[in-house]
Amino acid sequence: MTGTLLVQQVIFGITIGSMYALVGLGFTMIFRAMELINFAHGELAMLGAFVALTLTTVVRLPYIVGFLGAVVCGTLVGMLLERTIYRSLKHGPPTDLMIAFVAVSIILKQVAVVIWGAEGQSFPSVFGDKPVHVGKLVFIPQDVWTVVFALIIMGLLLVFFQSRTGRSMQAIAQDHETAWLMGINVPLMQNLTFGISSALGAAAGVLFAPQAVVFFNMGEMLLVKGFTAAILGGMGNVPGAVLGGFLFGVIEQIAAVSISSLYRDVVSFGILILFVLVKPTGLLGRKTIVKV
Amino acid sequence: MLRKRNLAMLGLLFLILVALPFVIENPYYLHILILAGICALPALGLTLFVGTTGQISLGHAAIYGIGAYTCALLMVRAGVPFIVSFICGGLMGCLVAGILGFIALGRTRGIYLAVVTYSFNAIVRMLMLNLVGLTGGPTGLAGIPSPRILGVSFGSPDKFYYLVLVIVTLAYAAVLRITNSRTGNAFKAIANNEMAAKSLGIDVYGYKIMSLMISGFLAGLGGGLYGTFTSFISPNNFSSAQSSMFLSMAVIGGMGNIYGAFIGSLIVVALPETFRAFQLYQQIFYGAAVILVLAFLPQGVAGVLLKPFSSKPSGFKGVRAWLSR
Repeated sequence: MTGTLLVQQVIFGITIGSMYALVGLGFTMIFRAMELINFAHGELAMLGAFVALTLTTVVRLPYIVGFLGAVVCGTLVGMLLERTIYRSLKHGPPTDLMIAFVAVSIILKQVAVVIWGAEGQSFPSVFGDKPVHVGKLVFIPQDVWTVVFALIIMGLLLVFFQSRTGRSMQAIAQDHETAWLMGINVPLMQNLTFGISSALGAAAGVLFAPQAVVFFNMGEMLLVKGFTAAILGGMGNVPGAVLGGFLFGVIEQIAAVSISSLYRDVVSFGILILFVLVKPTGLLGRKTIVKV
Repeated sequence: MLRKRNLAMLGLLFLILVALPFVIENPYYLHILILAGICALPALGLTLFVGTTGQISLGHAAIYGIGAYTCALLMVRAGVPFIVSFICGGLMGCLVAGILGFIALGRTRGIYLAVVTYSFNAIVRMLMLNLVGLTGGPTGLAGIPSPRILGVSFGSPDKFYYLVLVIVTLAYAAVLRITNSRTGNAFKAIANNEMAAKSLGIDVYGYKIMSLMISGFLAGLGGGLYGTFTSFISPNNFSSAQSSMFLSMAVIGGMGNIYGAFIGSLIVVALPETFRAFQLYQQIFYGAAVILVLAFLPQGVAGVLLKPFSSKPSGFKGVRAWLSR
């Protein structure tokens, strides 16, 4: 692989990685705050993509309205899930909660089939697919905007984390009981965490949509990629999820070009297994000691 | 006491099930019963691994599929007799489950297992779709011969029914034996409190892998039966949605009780056939049913049905119930 080609693939990898980072970020936030694996996270991305598609192509609203509509919709669904399912099962065994969210994923998939049908639909490119040549490198406007959007969202999140509410959310992620004692409304923060995480999922879905086919099962592979990003960076580590997402996007892209594009998903699974086996704490994670 | 009661129940159930083909006139009902029996195998595996051992697997459809493809390919491509291919399917499921367990069970928290099994299912399905030379790709694998054991063909539904009945009964007997043994107690101890189990000298990692392997063996056997029953398998039969369905069967039936697996599979297999008009909404119904059962019926449907038969809680649970009076 020549230098230019490698750089080109890294650029493509960063594009796709920005979406993995968003998925991984949302997923890791819920995991960090509640020790819960949200198996419906991929479906939130799918829902976001469908809502944006409907708003832009059927209702013919501008893209940004479609995008915001999807994010709002994702937030509401996430908060609803927290209110109903998480709250009624959080005191039971952790596997029950996990199974309940698998059930939520089944329900959301089927709701999508009922509303939008089982066939895949393509999301029109918003910012254009016409490649722009810069020196020897090729940039696709859609890709560039995707990365910019993703970075803006991450930046907003970073600012939000500095606010009082954001700091409260971090506090409940560290220690529920102490947070309670400090006067933080833990259930409200959990609700917000769910909402923001789901909004991130929906946003990732909208950004990912023009690169893929929008269909009811699109969340599955996206979630697998999100898992890999989260584990690569260190489960429950927020900067780790972002780093993991970008890094994984690049690795996957290079592997797809140099090995076979057919097996890019297998590469993802390989990395996942490698990290679970060798370094389950990920790149940035610290070893946790379980106290009895 | 408990064991005697269980044996009597099992005997009664067995007799009813043996008599069923003589009572049922519509062959379609027999078809549903066979499918429910086949699904009961992976669901029983999940009951053992998720219910008894307190772990999680979201990849049982992939293990079931690997069993199905192993059995079918051996029969179609290599002409291996059914009984050998069938057991090979089970062993393959057991092996794959063992590898998954080796990778994901060693860590302190169960989350890696959930993530790895879920991803495993997605990847296995993708491989089934793409390894066209081996699996036939998206068009699937057709023309799987019906089972033949010692010259007796099990092609007709009523004969196949008895084959499934014998295998499911054996599986139930084996699982019942395991749950009531020392190994079963270790599984329950791990589900109850992993740290405490470890401090009692129970090899937590080893027992978890063992539980997953037994569970995988059952799923693999189920896959082999499925392929030979329908004579056609395709990657779509083994999606992660199917894994969720197996999990739904185990949960709706009730995981506190091994009869839950069969009751749950019967409900999940039979209901869509009864309510054909609502086919589009089936999955929504199951998802909702799973959540409602988890929230309101922790013992599942089997727990409710078998309540009159259940004796006082015994052993450790009894002590806990007594303490929390």
